[in-house]
Amino acid sequence: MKKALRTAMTASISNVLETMFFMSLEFNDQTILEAGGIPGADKTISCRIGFKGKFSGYFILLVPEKLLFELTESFMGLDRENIADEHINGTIKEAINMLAGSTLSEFDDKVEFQLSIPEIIDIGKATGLGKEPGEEEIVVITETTESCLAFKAVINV
Amino acid sequence: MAVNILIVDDSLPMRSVIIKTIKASGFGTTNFYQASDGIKALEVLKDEWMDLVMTDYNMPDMNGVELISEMKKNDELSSIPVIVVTTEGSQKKVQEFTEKGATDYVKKPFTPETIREKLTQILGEMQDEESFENGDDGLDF
Repeated sequence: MKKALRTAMTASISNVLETMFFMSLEFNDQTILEAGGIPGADKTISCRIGFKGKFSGYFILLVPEKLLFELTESFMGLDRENIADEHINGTIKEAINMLAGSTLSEFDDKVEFQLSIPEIIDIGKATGLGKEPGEEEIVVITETTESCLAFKAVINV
Repeated sequence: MAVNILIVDDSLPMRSVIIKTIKASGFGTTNFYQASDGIKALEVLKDEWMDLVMTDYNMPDMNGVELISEMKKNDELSSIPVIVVTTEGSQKKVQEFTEKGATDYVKKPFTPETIREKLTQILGEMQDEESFENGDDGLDF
């Protein structure tokens, strides 16, 4: 299941980021956040969304602030000087909403999953999640031209 | 003739993206109205006529399906077509949207071409019906 979910996560990242954010990207082979450069030297924004269904858990999206501003510019068609906190927070929440929905559909579109409302969480919490007994984590790291972001799944087993 | 479209989504960026995408699709002249959830959408619908409602599914207070149910209970609102714009893609969910009265659905992520196709299918057909009802049936006796 982990392999199938990773495949679904990778496909959904390509689908969502290329279609809605017009980004070219490559995938990093690293499966551990720190080894993949997340978090890096810059401030990183992280967002979580829960899911319940055939199995349950949550997805986390970790994006360096500078890259998140670029994503917001592309997504909303706004110039940098017109971007407010509500825009970048809204963008990362919508990104994880689409990534989660797309991943779960890609994984199995015959099964109904319920998604929670996305929430911004502390970066320390985000990197620490998935280490508890009964949890498994899958990390997909994506590189853009100047930065990278991480999409992480934590599954309750 | 301009059409009125109500965009219902609790995400401000997503409402902006839907509007931007409709404009980019070249669909036609459109007046946009916005609401952040189903309850606010019903308030807008009380005061303004809409040719189409495009609603998210997963919203606090009143979700997209609940909004459709409320519209179907109202004689004036029940004929307004509704497109659900959602990340929810399971076959069961799509069936639920349709059974509750959604005219169509669009899965996120979406392209301008998909949006244009959906709008043309729904609003293009409406425009044809209006022409017929006004007596413009193209026949010349």
